[in-house]
Amino acid sequence: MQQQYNTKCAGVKRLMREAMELREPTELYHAQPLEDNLFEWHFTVRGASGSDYEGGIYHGRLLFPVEYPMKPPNMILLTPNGRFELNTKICLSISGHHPETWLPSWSARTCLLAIIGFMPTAGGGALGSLEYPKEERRKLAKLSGNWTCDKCQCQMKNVLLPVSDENSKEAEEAKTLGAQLNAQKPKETSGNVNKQEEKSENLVETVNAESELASENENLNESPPAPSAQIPTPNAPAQIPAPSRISAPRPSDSTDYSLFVIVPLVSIAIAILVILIARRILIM
Amino acid sequence: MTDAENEIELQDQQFKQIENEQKMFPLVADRLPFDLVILDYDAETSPDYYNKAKELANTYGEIRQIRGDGNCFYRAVFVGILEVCMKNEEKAKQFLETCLGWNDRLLKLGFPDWTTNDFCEVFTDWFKKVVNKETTSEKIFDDLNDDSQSNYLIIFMRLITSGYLKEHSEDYAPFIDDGRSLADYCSTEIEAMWKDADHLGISGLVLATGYNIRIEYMDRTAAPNGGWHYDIPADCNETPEISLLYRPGHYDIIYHK
Repeated sequence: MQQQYNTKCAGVKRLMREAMELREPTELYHAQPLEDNLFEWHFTVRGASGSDYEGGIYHGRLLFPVEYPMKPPNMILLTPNGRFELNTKICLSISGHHPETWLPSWSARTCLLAIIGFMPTAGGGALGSLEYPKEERRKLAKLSGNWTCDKCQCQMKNVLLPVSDENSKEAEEAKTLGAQLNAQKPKETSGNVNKQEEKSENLVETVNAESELASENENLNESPPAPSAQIPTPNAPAQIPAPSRISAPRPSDSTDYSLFVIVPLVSIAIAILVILIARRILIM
Repeated sequence: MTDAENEIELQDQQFKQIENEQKMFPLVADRLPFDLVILDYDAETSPDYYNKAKELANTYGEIRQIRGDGNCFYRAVFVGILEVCMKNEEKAKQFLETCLGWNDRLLKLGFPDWTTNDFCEVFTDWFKKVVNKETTSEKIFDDLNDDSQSNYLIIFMRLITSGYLKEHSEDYAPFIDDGRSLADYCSTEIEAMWKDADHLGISGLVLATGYNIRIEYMDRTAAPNGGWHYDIPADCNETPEISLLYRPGHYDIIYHK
């Protein structure tokens, strides 16, 4: 493979080094370039424990642009999962849909952890996301072990190392990344904002009703959308797919609404003030 | 296709078009007579710029234009430093030391180790060739005009800028006015590719590299102190070796006569 590519190209060198770095499967992920194309990789990730995807193992494609790592790769899932459409580029602020939020210091590994961490967050109507009920997602997670990739000829249950306690640090990292990505969710086209807000609010309700820790989420809801406030403590059991983040005010969306509230309120306040002053003057 | 998809498709096309237009200019052009700048302006329709350009032409003999892709400030300073180093071996060695030192400084600040090491290594390996004279000036400028090579080196410039700001977070955090943390600001404005440098980026890069710069403003209102030019850092005693010309939204390198 080495002869085929211009190894002087910094992006090619970088992809080769990343491939070397990731060549051994871990408990949570594995990814390697296709034999005939350094710019297309196939990956396998383990669904986050404590989420609807626990026990699921999912396969997909990472498509790197020639400008990598200046521009982000695209991600496509192949294994049915109920969270992302299949054979569709996933809309994630770390993926090709949003080159402006990508950082060159992220890597293929970052993308894999981001997918793991992002799956349990609500889709909010983003492109390529699905809103399957949790039972369906859990069923798909169970079935995923037997899914086989035509191209790699690998069966999901055989790809990754068995789970032990050693992955907790990376699992935590995945969760943090997922939270960050959700918090800095990019502005969608303006027409969709209203619909999305409604949708995600509905989701919050259902998720809260289901969760035993709803009250804890309330607290989180009140805190500002700083990512640090949403990072769970390392020892906390990972039982909730962190629904609190969904309703955390998004800077871009909230401004749209606040104007409608603030402007009428301020004008009413001014009107009352004027009336009071006028009365005082008249009475005098 | 849904509306949203259509819109994204359209946006993509627009981005591509802008990118292609940008790519018609070299990343780092050759040194050309400063008179070119005068030619950009018409004496009658924009007399202010025209006169300013004529005035600058008394001091500056040449200009090297840089592609306007959001990296122009970083690229201009980097090329300026390289030119100094190509002429002065002592300074080249000194700058190599600074850059080698940045690898550990960045890791200490919590930059992701794998990719940070990669960017630092690629940069210092490339720059070592300049220091040891294992490359020619022609080859250096070929590399600077090769998108993938050149941008890899620019990322290093961005990383050390971000690193310097983070090392001095107490000094810089108060300048970020929209409630973001310095770390947030650095990742979205400095470390992300294609984002123009603002005053924090300028100050960070100058102090991270140890190279003072002078910026000449075509438009007086754009200069922070209302003057025609501005030295960074403001308290530097000698005239900086590197001069940039700022025209709204863009930097090029200019050379004293």
